[in-house]
Amino acid sequence: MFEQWSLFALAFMGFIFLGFLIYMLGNRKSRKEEMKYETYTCGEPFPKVSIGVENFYHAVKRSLGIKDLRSHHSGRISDYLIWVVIGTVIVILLTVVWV
Amino acid sequence: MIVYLLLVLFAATFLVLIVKRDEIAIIAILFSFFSMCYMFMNPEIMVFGFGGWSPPFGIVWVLDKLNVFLALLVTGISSVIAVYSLKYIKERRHRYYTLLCLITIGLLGVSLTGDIFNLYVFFEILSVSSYALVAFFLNEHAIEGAFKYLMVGSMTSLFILIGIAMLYGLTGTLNFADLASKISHDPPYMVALGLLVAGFSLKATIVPFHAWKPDAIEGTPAPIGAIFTSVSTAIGVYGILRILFIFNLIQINWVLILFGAITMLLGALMALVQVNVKRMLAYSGVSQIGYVIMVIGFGTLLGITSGLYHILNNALIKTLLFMGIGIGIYLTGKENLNEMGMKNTPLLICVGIGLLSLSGIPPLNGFVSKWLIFMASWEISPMLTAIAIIASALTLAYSFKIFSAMFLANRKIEAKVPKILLIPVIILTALCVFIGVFPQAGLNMIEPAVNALLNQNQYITAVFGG
Repeated sequence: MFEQWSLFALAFMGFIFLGFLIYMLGNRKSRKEEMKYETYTCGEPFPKVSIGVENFYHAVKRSLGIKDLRSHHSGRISDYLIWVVIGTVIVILLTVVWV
Repeated sequence: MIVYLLLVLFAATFLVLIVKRDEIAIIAILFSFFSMCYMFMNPEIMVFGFGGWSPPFGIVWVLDKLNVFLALLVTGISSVIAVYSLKYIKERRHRYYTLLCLITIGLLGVSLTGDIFNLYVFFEILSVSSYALVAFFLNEHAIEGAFKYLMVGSMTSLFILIGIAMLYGLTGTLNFADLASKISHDPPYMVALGLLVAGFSLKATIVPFHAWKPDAIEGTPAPIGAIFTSVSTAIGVYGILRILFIFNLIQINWVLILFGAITMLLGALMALVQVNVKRMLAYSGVSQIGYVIMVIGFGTLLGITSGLYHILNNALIKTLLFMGIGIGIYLTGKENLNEMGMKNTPLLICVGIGLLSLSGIPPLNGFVSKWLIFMASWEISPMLTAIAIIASALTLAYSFKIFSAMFLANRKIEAKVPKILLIPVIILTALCVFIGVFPQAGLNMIEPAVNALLNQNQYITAVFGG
């Protein structure tokens, strides 16, 4: 099934390594600028910002009904036990009907 | 041979506490791994009877290619974790190693036994040692997680016990091979099947039986999180497969396909919005097992092959990630992704490869099994392939979140990683790359297991001596 794959994979990894090598060699030769240019936005220096992990995929959190999904994972044992009972009933019913 | 293996593991369990030498547990677990390697080489089905009783009356352990493959995975992962834990666990280590030996015995027993009640006994050994390991740190999160797991786990254990009692009442036997020859597909049998599948679904963490897992893993030591998301779930899937094998129902099963597809998507979506890294990996484990359940539901040769291949890859990747990220937790003392920024090149490479592999990026092992899964699902319905691809894209999204938080954050600590923690992680990374580049090596391990699963008559003949 994978006769050609190993060759392709090795070549793929070889190219990545070659690219990395060229990048490293290129970096070594280049003369570094002494003055560093600051980034300006609308004439103001751009502050160094980083996005907190909580804000990653913020739009996804709101758009895909994940809020509801999260609210169902309440952490209450009674909820989990009800899920297990309902899940078992569904599995038994579907097994008897479908299988 | 198998009796000595059990004796060594049981003896190590108690000796660690008495002699207070953790190395005994490591040697015992390594011994079990090498024993399994030896048994994996044997092409025949091996049957070991206990107490001089012949089957179906006595307890037998049947070592076919399917369960020896699982046992090899269990002991291999346990061995790596045993070495890693020597540095990772700082206090009450003797108790930890005792429990690690017990959980290995439970996992081995469930995978190797040929008797359904014996399976239940080892399932309970596995469960009880799991509850204790979740509570190991004895802090608020650990005890809460262990209690939830205990409550939900007890309920599903009861379902398994009722299922076994029903089967015994209907057939008068507990031996797998004997059950397989006596079982019918009438409604009472199907109810027993449903109860058993639901019971094993908890260990496999199929939605809606999954909710305990993130809470339990949040409190547990990182290497034990690796066991829960890799081999413990694999044993849950094995339980379902073995029950379907007994019922001779390795065929298209829309119940499994439906539950698998839901598990795959829901796990990935929930992982995307987590901030605690262990909870995120726990949901990731739920999502990955969804792939396996879905393709096993296809009942095709390609479906089962890809499912077992993904079990192998998921076990390697999840252990790598839990141990790699565990180093981050060990060094920073934090589990919140916002506070885990660190600078360490070997760890960056290892965790990076693990995350890329989890997302199914070529040429790593995760890609190989996911590619097979896409092909298998295309045969059944392109819609299922689309769902699998969406789940895979979500996996890449949350993998990036972990990598960004750990290695691209502004606030970084210069970390010097102890070698004993790093070596097992490097070994697993090398395995992920090796299987990715030479997928046939993994396939050579899987194919005999698939053949064993699809050949019920061979199993029955081996147990009853031809």
